[in-house]
This record gives sequence, structure tokens and C-alpha cells, in this order.
Amino acid sequence: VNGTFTLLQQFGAMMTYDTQILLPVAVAISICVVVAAYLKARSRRHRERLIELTVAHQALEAHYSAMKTLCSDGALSAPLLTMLVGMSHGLSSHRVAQYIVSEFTKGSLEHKRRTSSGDVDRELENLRKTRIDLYGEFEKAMKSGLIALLLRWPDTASAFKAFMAQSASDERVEVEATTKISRYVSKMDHKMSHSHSDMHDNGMVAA
Amino acid sequence: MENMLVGLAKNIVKGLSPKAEALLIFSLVACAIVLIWLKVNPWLACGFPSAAYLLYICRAERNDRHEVSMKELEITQLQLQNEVKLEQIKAKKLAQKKTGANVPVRNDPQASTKKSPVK
Repeated sequence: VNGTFTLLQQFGAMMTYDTQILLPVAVAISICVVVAAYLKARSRRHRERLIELTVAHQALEAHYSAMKTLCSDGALSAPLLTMLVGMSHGLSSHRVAQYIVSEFTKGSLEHKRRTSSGDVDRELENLRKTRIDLYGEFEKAMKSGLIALLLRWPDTASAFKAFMAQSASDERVEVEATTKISRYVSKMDHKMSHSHSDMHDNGMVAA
Repeated sequence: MENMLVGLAKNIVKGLSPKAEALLIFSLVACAIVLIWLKVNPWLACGFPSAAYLLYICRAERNDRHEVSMKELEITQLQLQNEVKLEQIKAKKLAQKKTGANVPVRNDPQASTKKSPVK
């Protein structure tokens, strides 16, 4: 105890006689705290993003596995198959994710403003009655696709929680969203093929 | 006296060992104190441990960012692998369903030359 006391006394004496030492200590601590806080915040954001991407990856795997089951089975009707493949095709597009989030925030997926045709509903009901196993796979593909689409991009990931909360209270939101995605993707494809054919006509592709 | 200090340091290190960053901060602070004790230039004595700590944090942040980019690449790869397969399966199925219709298969250059199965 005496030894420790002496040591502390010596250190205190040094600090008393040489107060200039406090300046570098204070500067070093301040710089470390500020820079560390900034970098730690960035690290935390990266870790959160990594969790989102891990979930998106798992959802994508589930989506593709369900899609393989659905596509290899011949019982799925053409409108449902086209809708799902259209959605699957749009999963890699950032514009599609932004579009569906904007539709969601505008309230276009709500019950009153739905535009999807009754054909899809009838086909789904039919599928649920005849092939409950395929209906389960269809739901899995739809849900996992939407999760992957929203969590894939940082700006749309913020809407994920609100979207999931609404879809938990209203099952039709997912079908509506899938229909909209499928239509949007087919529109995009149509535009792209048109612009490509225009370029071809103008001789730009050949050039 | 020395034994006591060594015992104290051992206990602290043992307690902090699960947390690498806390252990690093402790050792760097100890290093700064020793350097000041040895009458090294105080700016150097404080600057060296600070620089070492900031380098450690920068490296950790870059590592996290790298993991995020790797995950994004993994997702892109998964999408690319599966999209082509799905398009081909869909085109086949639709061609089977729409008997008589000639459905072009995406990424399949021979599709446009295929004849419709049933007229």
C-alpha cells in the first residue's frame, strides 16, 4: 500500500510540476473520442446493413426454391406463373423496389384503391382449393420475394417494417404488390425492347 | 510493490480479455503512462497510442464495409444464377400451356426458330 501511495505521489508531483503534459493528453483524448464516435457509428450502420442483406439473401434463396417447385409443377395457371416470374425478374432492379415503396407510401396498395383484376383472385382461390401445397409455395415465393426486394436496397429497407406490418393485417397487400411489380416489370421490358428496336432501326446497334 | 502491480495488471487483462477493443485501450493507456513516466516527449507519448487506436478502429470499419460489399455480391450472384433458369422454365411451361402458340424463350436464340408443337 505504501509503495502504491509513493508511486501515486510521484505521479501527482510530476503532474503538478509539469502541467504542460495535460495539453497533449487532452488533445489526444478529444481526437480519439470524436473520430472513434464517427467511425463507430459508421460501423454500426454497416453491421445493420449486413443483417438486412443476410435476411435478403435468405429470403432470395427461399424465393428461388419456391419458384423452382412452382415452375416444375404443371398445375400452376399461366396468369399466376407469369405474375410470379415477372416479380422474380424485377427483384434485381432498384427501380422496381423504389416503385413499390412509392406505391405503398401513396396508399395504392390499400383495400379501397386496388386495381388488380379478379382473375388472379379466382386463380388463387382455385389453387387454394385444389392444391394447398402449391398455394403454400406460392405464398412463400411472394412473401420472400417482397422481403428480398425491400431489404436489398438501403433506401427501401426503411419501408420494410411498415410494409410488413400492413401485410400482416391485410393478406391481399402482398398479392396487390406482386401484381403491380409484375406489371411494372413487363412495362419496363416493353419500353426496353421498344428502345432497342428503335436503336436497331436507326442503325445505332449496327454502328 | 512490483508484484502487486503485476498482479493488478494480470487481473485487469484477464477481466478485459473477452473484449479485444477494451484490452487494446487499456494497453495503449498503460503504454502512454509509461512513456510519460520515462519522460518521452508528451506529444509523442500521447500521439503514438492514439494513432494506434484510430488505425485499429479504421481497420474495423473497413472490414465491416467489406463484409457488406461481399454480401451484396453474393446476392447479385444468386440472382444472376437463378433468373436465367427461371425464365427458361417459365417459357417452356407457358409454351406447353398455350398449345399452338410459339413462345420465344429468353436467352435462347433458337427459340424463335422453333416450330409450334400443335397447330
